[in-house]
Amino acid sequence: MRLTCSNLSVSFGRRNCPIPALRNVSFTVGEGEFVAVIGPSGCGKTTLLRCLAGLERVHSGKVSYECGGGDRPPRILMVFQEHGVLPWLTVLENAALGLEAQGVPKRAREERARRLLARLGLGGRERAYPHQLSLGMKQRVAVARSFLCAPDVLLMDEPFAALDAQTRLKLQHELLALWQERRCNVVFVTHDVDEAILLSDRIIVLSAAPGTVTGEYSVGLPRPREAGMMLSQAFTSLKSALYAQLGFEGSQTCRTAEIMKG
Amino acid sequence: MPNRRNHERLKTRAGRWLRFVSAPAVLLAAWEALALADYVNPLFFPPPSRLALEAVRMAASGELGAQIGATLHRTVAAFLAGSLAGLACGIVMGGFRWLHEALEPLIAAVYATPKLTLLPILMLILGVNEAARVAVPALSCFLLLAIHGFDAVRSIQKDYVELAKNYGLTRLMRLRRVYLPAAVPQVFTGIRLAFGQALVLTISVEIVSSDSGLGNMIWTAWQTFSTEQLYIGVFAAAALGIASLVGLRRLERKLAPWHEPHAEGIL
Repeated sequence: MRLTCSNLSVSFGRRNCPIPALRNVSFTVGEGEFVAVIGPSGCGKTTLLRCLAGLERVHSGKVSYECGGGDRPPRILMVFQEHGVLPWLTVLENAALGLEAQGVPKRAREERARRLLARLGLGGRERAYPHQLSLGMKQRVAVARSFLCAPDVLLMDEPFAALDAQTRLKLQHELLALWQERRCNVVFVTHDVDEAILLSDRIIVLSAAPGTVTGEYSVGLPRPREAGMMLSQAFTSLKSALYAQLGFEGSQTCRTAEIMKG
Repeated sequence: MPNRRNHERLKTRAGRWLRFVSAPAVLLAAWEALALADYVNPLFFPPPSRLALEAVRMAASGELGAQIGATLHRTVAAFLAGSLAGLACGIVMGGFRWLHEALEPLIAAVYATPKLTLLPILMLILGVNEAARVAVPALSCFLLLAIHGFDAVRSIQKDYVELAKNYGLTRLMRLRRVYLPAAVPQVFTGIRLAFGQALVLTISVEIVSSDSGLGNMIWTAWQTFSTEQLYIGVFAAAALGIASLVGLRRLERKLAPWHEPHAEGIL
């Protein structure tokens, strides 16, 4: 599966006074590639994912998926930042929801969900309702649901942004381990530079609104990735390059601050 | 130490019950003392002990049960008919904006009118009969469920619907897995209010126009100055109200176990 996004533009607001959100965004995601998208908040990252998922109307440009054989429609699944689990379903029902939609019989889908949940440390919590879970557990349920569906493309919208640093690190590792086994294309939106480097093969940098691609970096770190790599030379030099690209440097920062004040 | 924890829980539960019954108990004890000491006229305020004896007598003769049964029968009939129709109306309004815009002024107008004032008009339409008596509380239930049903449909998180679509749930699955469960808490708010209103209005209608039910019993007792029966009627009405509240809470907990408990209470 190969995902191509060409000259994508989207704007919101009224027709006579449109507010552009994305302008001429083009990139590709190759077979089994993990791509991170970073950019300042409000730059249209979420909008971009929603376009890729077909949840947003594209004004101009194109999103296309090339399937390598097989004629079923590609399975493009979102992992949402918030409201990613249904509060009235148990952990097990939530995790198995995608399989249920695919018509997998109850017993089989629950068995598969149970196994993956146990692996993610949610064994014994299958009958719990989301309001009894921590934020990290809820996101694990959402991740389990998406992987159970065997997606072709996984679109992740800052799934770990609201977690504390240690939980986030844990979930990042669990995600990588799952992805390592069941390779699929991932587009991972984040505003966290460390997270982008640690997880992805390639990083696409978006500018402030309207979002346009201002840079692409490939991450040269070997896999499997470990938290220890965050101290390596390769990691830190990429990190400073990304910070520079994002405009956290000298005059650039001041200018942004002035614009924000004005 | 699970034993200790159990003990603690028991203690707090017992404590809550104690606090729950303490205010009414103090009130009744004071009343009893004042009546026995002849500080208040026992003809106007018969002591609770005498009320209890009279209540037992009325219960034994089947008189009290018959009146409660008549009231409950009307209340439930009005509640079921009104709520079901109202819920259907609310859901349809939630689906069609124009319908809501067309009906909203009508609903607002009738909602703001004291329902008992509509009894004569309903009697002109339906005749002086049981149908008109039940129509008043039924109308109130209809409005409450129409309003809360509409709110329930409109306030469903768009995110959940998108999630369901994204994971390929069919229309029917979305109805079962998203729309219906999402609507339960809000609808239940309407149901609780509607049952309370049904009870209040049924008894009010019975006071004005009926030959049975708690309302009739209370009013007859007033006119014949049987104060004991008067108080027993009022207490029975209060007990019905509390019982329905508890029952509906239990039902909601059963239907929506995922819903975070509101205020912790004894009921």
